[in-house]
Amino acid sequence: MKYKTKIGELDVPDEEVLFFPFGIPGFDRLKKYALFSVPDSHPVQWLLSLEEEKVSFPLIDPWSIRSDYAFELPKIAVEVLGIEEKTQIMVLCILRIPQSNPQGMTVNFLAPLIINLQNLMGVQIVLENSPYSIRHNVAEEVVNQQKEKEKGEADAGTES
Amino acid sequence: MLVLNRKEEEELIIETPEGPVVIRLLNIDGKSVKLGIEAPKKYLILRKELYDRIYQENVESMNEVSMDVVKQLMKKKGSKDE
Repeated sequence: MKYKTKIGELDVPDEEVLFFPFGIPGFDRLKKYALFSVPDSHPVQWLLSLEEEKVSFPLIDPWSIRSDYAFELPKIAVEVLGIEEKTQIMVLCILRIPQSNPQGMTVNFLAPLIINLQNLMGVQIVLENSPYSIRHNVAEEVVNQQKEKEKGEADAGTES
Repeated sequence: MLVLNRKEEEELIIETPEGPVVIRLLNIDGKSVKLGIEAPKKYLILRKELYDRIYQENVESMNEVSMDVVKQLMKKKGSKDE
């Protein structure tokens, strides 16, 4: 089926439409989305509303920024998305990319999107008792990650 | 807004098509009250101020978004890596 989206008219087969039963906070009436990626904007992907063409969000795989990102999947996500032991899920976080200062982009690690890849249902959860915040500076996180990695390599070097 | 008086250990029930939501006033301590909530499994219950922050962040992400800006940014990054 054809939809009007932020990036223009898009043909999305029914079996690729994501369904967010709660919508997402701020957009609770919008339930249907498509996940869209273009090589030019890699690794940033896009969540496009199929019901309101103005609405779209840039997303990123949190582990591409921080390899130690971790949380316990809240029960509500398991219930709502129908997650079982062998269900494959996808986790993506929303980016905030200020047009006036795109280098200052931040990522929301506190409220990741969880998508059940078997039934394409999704929910934005809010982590409880989490060390993460809604605004992590992406550039800083990447630099820190790199430093950690180098430190690890240096330590490994001295051991041998 | 519906306003009701409750004492410690008293409850409220909200009937919904998916089952009842029961809210119990567990304890009052100064300006803070502790609530216990029992709801159907698929009900998402959040502290409102946290919900509002996520809400605002999502709206801001949407308002600021521009695919061209992202493409340019990634282009720059790519050329730096080379």
